[in-house]
Amino acid sequence: MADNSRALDTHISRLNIKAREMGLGPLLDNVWGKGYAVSTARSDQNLGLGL
Amino acid sequence: MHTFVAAGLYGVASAPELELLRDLRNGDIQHAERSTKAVVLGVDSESTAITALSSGADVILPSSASESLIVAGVRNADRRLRIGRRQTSQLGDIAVDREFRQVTVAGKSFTTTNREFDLLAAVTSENRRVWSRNELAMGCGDH
Repeated sequence: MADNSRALDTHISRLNIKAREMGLGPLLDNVWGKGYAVSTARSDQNLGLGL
Repeated sequence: MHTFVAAGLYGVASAPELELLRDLRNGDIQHAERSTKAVVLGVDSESTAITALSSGADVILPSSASESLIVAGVRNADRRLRIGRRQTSQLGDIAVDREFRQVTVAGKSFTTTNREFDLLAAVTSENRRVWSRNELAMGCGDH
């Protein structure tokens, strides 16, 4: 599971790097180290749900 | 193929299996996927059929159903569910086309690996949601 978690971070980091190379902002936000949300759709309303 | 569970009633409309199915549909079973598809066997009367469907059954079959009929019923349900499933999703600037496995961001084509595509497909499938690391990490070791 730890390997999967590290792989997840790597995948998301690469996605955000690709987006930056295209002149865009990051696609996914790391939320308090516990989860991820689409950057443009993140809402403080959902931060307490099930993480 | 979707995940299916099966329950046998065999004439008992008040069977505990249906109560369990109602709990599943209501989200009262912890860690269970409430949209799991349910095949209910042994539905031999109209009243039992009504009860089973009202409880959340996706496929109902009589006690006399052969193995072939059960397989046909499950395949039919799976096909209907695939047709009904939304093939594209958009959240913010990210648009994901599941049918052609293509992603655009802010209208620009965005190249992804298989796993990156799966991640974006997951996070754009529900609006305004934070996905836990465990949810997204499942399968990350496969690629």
